[in-house]
Amino acid sequence: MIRKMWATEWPLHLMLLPGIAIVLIYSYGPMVGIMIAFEHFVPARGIFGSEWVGFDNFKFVMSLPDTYRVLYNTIFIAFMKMIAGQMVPIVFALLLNEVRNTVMKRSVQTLVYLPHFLSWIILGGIMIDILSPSSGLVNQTLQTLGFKPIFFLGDAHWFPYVLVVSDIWKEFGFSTIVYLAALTSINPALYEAAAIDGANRWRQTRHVTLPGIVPIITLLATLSLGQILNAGFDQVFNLYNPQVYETGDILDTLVYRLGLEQAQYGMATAVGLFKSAVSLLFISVSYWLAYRFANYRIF
Amino acid sequence: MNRQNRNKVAVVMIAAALLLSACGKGNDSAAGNVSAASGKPAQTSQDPKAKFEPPIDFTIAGTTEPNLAFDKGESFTNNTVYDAYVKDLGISIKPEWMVDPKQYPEKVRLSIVSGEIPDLMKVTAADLQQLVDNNLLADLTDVYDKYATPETKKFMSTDGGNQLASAKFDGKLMAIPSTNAPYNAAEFLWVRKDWMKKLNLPEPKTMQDVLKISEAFTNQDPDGNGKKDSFGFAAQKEIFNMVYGFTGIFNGYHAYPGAWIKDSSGKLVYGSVQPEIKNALKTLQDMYKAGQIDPEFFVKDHTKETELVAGNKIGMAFGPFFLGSWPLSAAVVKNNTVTQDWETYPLASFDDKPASTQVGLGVDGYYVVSKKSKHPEAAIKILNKWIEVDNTTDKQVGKPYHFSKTNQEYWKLNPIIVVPQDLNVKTGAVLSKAVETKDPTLVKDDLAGSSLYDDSMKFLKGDTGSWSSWMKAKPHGTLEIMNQYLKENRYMFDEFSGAPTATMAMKKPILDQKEQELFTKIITNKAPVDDFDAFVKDWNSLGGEQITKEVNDWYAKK
Repeated sequence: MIRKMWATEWPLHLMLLPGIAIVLIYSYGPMVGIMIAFEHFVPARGIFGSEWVGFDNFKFVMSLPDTYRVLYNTIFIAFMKMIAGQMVPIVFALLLNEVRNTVMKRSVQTLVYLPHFLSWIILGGIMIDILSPSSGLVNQTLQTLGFKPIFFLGDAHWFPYVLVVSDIWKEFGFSTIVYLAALTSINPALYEAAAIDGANRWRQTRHVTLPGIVPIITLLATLSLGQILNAGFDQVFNLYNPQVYETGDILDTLVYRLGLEQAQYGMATAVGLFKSAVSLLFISVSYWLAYRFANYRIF
Repeated sequence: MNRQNRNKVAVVMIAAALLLSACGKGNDSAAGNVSAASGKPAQTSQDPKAKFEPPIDFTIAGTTEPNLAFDKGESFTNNTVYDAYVKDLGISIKPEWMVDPKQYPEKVRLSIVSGEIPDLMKVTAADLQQLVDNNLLADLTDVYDKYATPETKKFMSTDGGNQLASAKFDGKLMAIPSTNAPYNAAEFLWVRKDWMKKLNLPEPKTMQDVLKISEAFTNQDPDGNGKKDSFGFAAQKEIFNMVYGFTGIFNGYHAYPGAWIKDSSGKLVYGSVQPEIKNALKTLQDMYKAGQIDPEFFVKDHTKETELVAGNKIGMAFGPFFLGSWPLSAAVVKNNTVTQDWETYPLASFDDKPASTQVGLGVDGYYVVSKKSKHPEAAIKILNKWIEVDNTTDKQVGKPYHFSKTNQEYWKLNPIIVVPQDLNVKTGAVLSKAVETKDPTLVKDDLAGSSLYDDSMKFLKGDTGSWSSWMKAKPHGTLEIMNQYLKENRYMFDEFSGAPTATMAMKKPILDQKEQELFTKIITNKAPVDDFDAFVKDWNSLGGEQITKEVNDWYAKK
């Protein structure tokens, strides 16, 4: 039986080989470098020649006075981004799906997708302008409505929310496209059947559209849980300042200052490994949850 | 100043300084002092200047300078500057790799990790230490001794040998310092003179005067638009940046943040944790509370803050000698008119002891030669050549190494660039007098000086594009003050010039961040000034004490 399968399918397996080779070389090969996390790494002595220090790098990072604050910030910001990053595109995709005018639909889709291509360097400058408490657009609007101006980028309380909202604004168009694609794959016959049964638009959405895209929602939600320790280096790095270190400093910016600017590779790798381990844990758990409760398997 | 700031500043400084010296040669109206006869030495028999026959290949690490334009058919790997090195020295320069300047430090570190470095590359002090530790570098002691010309040796130790000494490890010369004038980091007080006149204010001779001016600029509507919308001081989020930073205020209270200074017992101590800092913080906090500083300064960089200057909202600023070229000129010179009248002053002090301006070693990086290089002496020959062509008044000699046929700024392509250690400060001794008396002979042997002199004359004839040169060259301009600082012994040198020590590399970034966070909070009145005392305690217990010990060990060995 197996031999028979092999006889017909071997060309397909052969075609897989280059891909497997690339994964092995670029994804599994560098994993040897994880050893750096447990070493006092000296470049010239190499990965195998450097002094083995066990968990010293991890202990050092944990002994830093700000590590827990930074860890909390990272999770807080990343978690909010995850939740909002799921909700907003779904709602937006559903709404956009109801738009009948194709021209309108396409242009809105493109417009919300555009900010995705701007870098945070540029957006950082723009945000400082529009969020300025004295001359910014947002605060002027707030003032005309009778509120006091808020220093969004200089106030430790507001800063994380600014990060979340601006990140969603920049990225939701991209996710929206994924959901729109999923929506088009729903069989139109189901809508017709629902309409004949007397379902209005809202009921159609609840009972046809949403169940239709549940697999893709589960998939993206599960994958995004792996991002639990990625709060967005580019964004934070371009927007934060000493006034908001308290709530805005994240793991990546800490590692950047400690590890890369000062060439402390051991420590930087240790934090990287820690992040990967936590991500793996979260993905595994969410995968199990998806299977257990939604009876859905990605792999 | 933290490392990042210092690097940024260094880049800007060298760019400004080079531009200055390079412009001199491109300028066709030099001060009638061309002596072509003495220009070109052609003693090819003499050993240091001998050509390689046949030409050798010499690999370098390249940066793809984004603002560099090329003549048709030329590129980063094939251009007239590289041709000149082949023609004059028999050295064929081959970039082993080329990256954008922003990625350069990272790429250098990668190449150190891989152990594969080109024959010649420019690195930071920290990288140099790593390269030495990892034994990847050629010992240049002998080749420098043998191949450096007397002019080169003199040039490299104008400062008494401090910069060259910083490249020595156990007495061995392991790199060529990218020399620069440490005095170029001097800070000056820039003031709107038109506002001062309008409000009848005295010149800022003391810190008290400065504070009074700042108060008046804020409250007495100096721009006359009927709104209270002006600030005493420009400021930006990097509070110790050279441009719009507050270092000038700190220095006025004899506090030297970020620098290692000698205390009364001769030991080195860290400037940021000395009690004098508190006075400066208090003053800045008061100024912030009184609305004399842009309340949003801590989210803005200097580009953003310059928008305020351009909008006539800033009355004073601290900045280096090149502040007039960048970023101020963009805000001041509009439509060929100088719209704001700025004047420069030496830093003011709060007591009767004059304020010193804090400066570093002035080295902008190190040129290292790979241990595997077959011809380490080629680096010294390139160095000889650059010093020769960059310091001659003979345009025929200088041009091939500085400009393309269509006058593009090819000097950026030279693999080794060093700047005179007394650039500008020496010029400052005579330049303002030359400008005042309109006597070009005073600066005829000085490249930077004669070019600034020419620019100033152009400015007086109405060429507003030369405003920034005028600010340097005019009586009481920045270069004169720079020289005045030197004469009055008002430079405070950072005594530590080694690579980061072990604890420093691990803990200094954390301490720097704490410092920046607290200082900014104190200035913006989010924390009381007395929090500084707790910070000093934390600083010591979080590694500062150990760092101080290591720095003093280094100092004892020096």
